[in-house]
Amino acid sequence: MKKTLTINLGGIVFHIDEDAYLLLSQYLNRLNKHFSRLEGSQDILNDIESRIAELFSEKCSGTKQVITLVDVNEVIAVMGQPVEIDREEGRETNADSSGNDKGDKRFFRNPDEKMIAGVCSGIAAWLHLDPVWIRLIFLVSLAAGGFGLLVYLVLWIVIPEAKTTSDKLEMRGAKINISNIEKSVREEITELQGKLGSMAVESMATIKRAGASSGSFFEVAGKGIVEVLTYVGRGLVILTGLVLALLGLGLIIALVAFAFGWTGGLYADNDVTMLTFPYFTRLLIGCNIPVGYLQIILMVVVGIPLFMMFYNGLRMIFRFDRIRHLGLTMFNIWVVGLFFLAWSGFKVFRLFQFKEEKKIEIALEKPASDTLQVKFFEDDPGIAYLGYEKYVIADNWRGIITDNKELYMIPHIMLEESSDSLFSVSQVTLARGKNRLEALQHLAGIRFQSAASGSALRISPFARLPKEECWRGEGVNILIRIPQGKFIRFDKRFRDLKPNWYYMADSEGELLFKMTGSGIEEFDPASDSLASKEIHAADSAR
Amino acid sequence: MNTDNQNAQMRKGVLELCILSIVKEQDAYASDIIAKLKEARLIVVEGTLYPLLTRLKNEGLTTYRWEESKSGPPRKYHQITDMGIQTLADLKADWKDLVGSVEKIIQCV
Repeated sequence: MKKTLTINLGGIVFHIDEDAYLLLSQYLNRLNKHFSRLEGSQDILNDIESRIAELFSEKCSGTKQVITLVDVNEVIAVMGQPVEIDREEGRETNADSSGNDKGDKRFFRNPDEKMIAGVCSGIAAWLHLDPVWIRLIFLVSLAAGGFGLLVYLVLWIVIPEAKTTSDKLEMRGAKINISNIEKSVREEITELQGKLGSMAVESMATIKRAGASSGSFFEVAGKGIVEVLTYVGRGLVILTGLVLALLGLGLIIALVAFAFGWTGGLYADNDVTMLTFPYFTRLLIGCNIPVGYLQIILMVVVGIPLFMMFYNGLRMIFRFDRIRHLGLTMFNIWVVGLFFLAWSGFKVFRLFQFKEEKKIEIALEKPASDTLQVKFFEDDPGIAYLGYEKYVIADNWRGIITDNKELYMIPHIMLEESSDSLFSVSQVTLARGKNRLEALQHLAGIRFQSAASGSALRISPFARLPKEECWRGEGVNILIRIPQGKFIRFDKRFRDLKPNWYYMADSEGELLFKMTGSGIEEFDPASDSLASKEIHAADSAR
Repeated sequence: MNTDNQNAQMRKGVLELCILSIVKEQDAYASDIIAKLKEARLIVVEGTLYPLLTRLKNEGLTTYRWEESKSGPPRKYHQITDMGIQTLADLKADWKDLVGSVEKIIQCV
């Protein structure tokens, strides 16, 4: 008993045995592949199908209703194998048809003569060479920068191992006609009877050709090289895919880690804090736009291209079919994400649109004294964070993030020459906002003290924001004007604020500066002279 | 290999000539053409014919029409075009020249 299928061939319905059906569809596929490079291949195939249908209907009668394996074999013998068709039609059966026809040589790893994975001996079997030569080439390429190793690994992955006898026969390939006969034997062992005739024809052709085939080594070698190049090309594609997929995956992981603040700061240095994306955004816009929303936008706008990179890399490696509409869908989502990003950018820009500043003069008690002392308010909560080596630096704005995730801004202390003989100090506070009123509110929210007491100026080490407030461009500038020839002495802990004149001072010792005609210079009281730092340095070097 | 190739090229030309002759005589259905070519032992496998027919059609030497059939789906009848008739005449002349020349030489030897 056999299962039958119903097929529509050239517009006629046939019942066909399952095995016969398999053979027929295999044959038609082969023809399809074979003719695919010709113009009008579909016409050719349709004509052939109609003819096969006609031949089948001749075989059917009242008592015989099912197409059997024998029928199909007879029909195939009548219609001819692709190689036979080529030969009769006068087309050269050359390299371009070799890849298409199943009977031709294929590339396999040779498990019988392997040293590692049988890649070299597989190539050797293909080229009809001794494997020693191929191995030698690989060793040489290995010595020359290890490229051979890469090729070897890729070929190992790409090329299948010759497992069955037929694989091994195909691996060695032999001459093309003999391989066709081998193929016939292998594929059609059950259908020998219908095949004998055409085989005889083929053998005759082989014998006829044998005399002329002495030059065919080069032909075979040429084909081999084409095949090897095909595999190398495929290998390169896989390699590219591998790089894309791994890079895509790596960057996706990095992106997620970044977006959710698992690791990685916007700015990281030895003494600069890891300001993570969620914290940074919360600090900046968290009061107006939820951080989660921004994380999603980030994942969409940056993540989708990375995902497509990963996906296409995988496709290059595994050659699976594209997922329908995935690219288009992703692109649409990406465009929407981009729109939201632009909208958020505009919103953030609006939050910072208006700038307000307030300038106050701090009246010193003894503006005419020789030395101005600059100290901290010892009861300021910021004192605890002096020497706290985690800085946030953005352009000329600097601050620290406290353990409580609060933002402390470092006052910007500038030293200038006074136009008269008096010390004077002015303080400028800055803030921004959506509108003027809001900017002023933010300005008023800055917590920073400064006051003169005796010959000293006291300031808070940091300017703080009201709790739960976002940063809106707040900052404090202190401008100290020093008369020429007079001194300014900072508390040693001012080093921790890293002002921009900090580089002039020794790493230890007093922070004592003198205003000279050419600007501010460090004054070394130990040398008891007016020598500049340079002279002092030159002295000690001598 | 070389002789084989020439052989193949020659046969290709000859097959085209024969097909054109057959369809010029009478519009023909693929099976008719096959039967005639097989009878003349010019082809062994039928698959050979279809790429040739398609090529002739693509080159504008033949065309086809569909004709209803009593015993099955409609059939494709091939017919020759004016261009085909012209080409056929040329091919025929070439063929006769060739046969004449070859005959002369073969008989002399």
